[in-house]
Amino acid sequence: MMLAAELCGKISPIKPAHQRMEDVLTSYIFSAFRYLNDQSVPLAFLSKAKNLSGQNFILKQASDIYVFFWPCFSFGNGRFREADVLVLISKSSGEKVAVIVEAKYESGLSNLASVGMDLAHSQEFQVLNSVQFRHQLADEFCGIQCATFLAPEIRQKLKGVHQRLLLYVTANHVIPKLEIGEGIEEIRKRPCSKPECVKKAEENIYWVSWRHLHQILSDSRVYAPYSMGERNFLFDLRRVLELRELDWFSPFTNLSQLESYSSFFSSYNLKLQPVETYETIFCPVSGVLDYRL
Amino acid sequence: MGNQRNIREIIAKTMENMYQIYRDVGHIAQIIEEKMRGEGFKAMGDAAITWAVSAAYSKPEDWLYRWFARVFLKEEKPKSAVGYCIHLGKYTPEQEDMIKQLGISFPFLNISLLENFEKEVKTYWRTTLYDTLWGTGWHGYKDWVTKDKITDKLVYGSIKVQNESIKYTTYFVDLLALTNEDVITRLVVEPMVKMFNGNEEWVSKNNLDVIKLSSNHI
Repeated sequence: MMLAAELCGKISPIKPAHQRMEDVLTSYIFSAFRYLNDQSVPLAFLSKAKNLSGQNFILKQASDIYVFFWPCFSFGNGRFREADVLVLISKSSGEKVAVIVEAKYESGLSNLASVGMDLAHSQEFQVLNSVQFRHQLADEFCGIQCATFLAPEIRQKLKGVHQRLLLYVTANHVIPKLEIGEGIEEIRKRPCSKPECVKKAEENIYWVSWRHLHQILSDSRVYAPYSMGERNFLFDLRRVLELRELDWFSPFTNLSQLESYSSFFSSYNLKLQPVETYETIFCPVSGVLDYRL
Repeated sequence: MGNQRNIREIIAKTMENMYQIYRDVGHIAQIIEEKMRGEGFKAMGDAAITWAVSAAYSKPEDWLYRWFARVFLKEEKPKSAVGYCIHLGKYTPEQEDMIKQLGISFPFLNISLLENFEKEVKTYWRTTLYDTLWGTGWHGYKDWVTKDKITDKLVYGSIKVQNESIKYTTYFVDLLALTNEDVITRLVVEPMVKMFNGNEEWVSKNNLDVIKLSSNHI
């Protein structure tokens, strides 16, 4: 399901290969939210996410889910940032949760702002404040809290959202505390920062590993609610994660039984030819080469 | 012909097994690396985890990667280090005997605190530190490493590093016990952090499920 990646121009050959790999993976995984009728696997994936305090993001059921790939946002200073995914979830209770996703595969954070030429001259955005883009996680967390999103549909759907989270998805085995801590520190230092901003960041920046999805998809029971086509999609997702070496840590479980190996050489029969005695070509006293030879 | 097919299968399975084993060892190393980084430690050198192997066609006995080590440092104590070495096996008979005498079986890790360096640890060759981590606690070559005290889980001694006598505290863990992230934290990462911070007897005091050393030496 790299439809999203292709539709959003992410697999253009002019993009660097590592970026294309990352965007295609993001497209595969988060397309699950779009294409599956039953959200139990995507929600189980989200529920594996933890913040720095070790608290999980719990979301058991959702009545509606909207997914927007590569949404752009701005603080009105003519510069924009692009997140990877925005997932808008309506809980059964009616509460809405907005999850902005930053996904990494092999590269690190992009801690410099990118400038979109099409927005640099846009009249649509007013100057709101002096937020300077720097740390990617800080930018995206602040983005989901306070920024203006380019797409009118996103702006409309963000109205009435109760909880706004950042989800950082990486290939790590354990939560990358340093990177998240740096993001929170960056938020603290921003001129517009209030104490509640930092508290919100500490509570609402979550991390999950691509490997957690592989762990979920390795349990055969999760496929039960799905149609044959959906199961095939999930099987393929699991296979993609394995091909990308993003499988769940389960050591020493895939080894084959072996018999002893014995050498396939029989006897080492070399027929050696007799040789005459070797005479040095060097003069033995002076060490000078004897040019008679 | 039947024998050849059998050998073919054995080779194929051996290669597949080695690939899987290396992948699993790699995962364990990555988890330890990420957790130690999260605890504020910096790994010494680049990403290299093995050393002392040969690529020469004439030395096939040295081609196989059998040991994997990492050294971790922190600015607060520049003359100390912690680290581990994973030992997969196929050592010399003499070395295997030294290991067996302590009641240890392959594959295993030794995890060590190294102290009393004369200079900052980061100034030493990384491979020298790897050699050190490889031999602490079990090697019997007394001109190189001593075992001054052996308890049920810990070995204390000194090891020569570039003509200096470095103090070590080492314990051992069964590699096959490291089946998930929590166990790796409990048996490897947390003790390394605690030992570095002065709690050398963490594994004993907390009754951790590490390898109990042979009572012949206690």
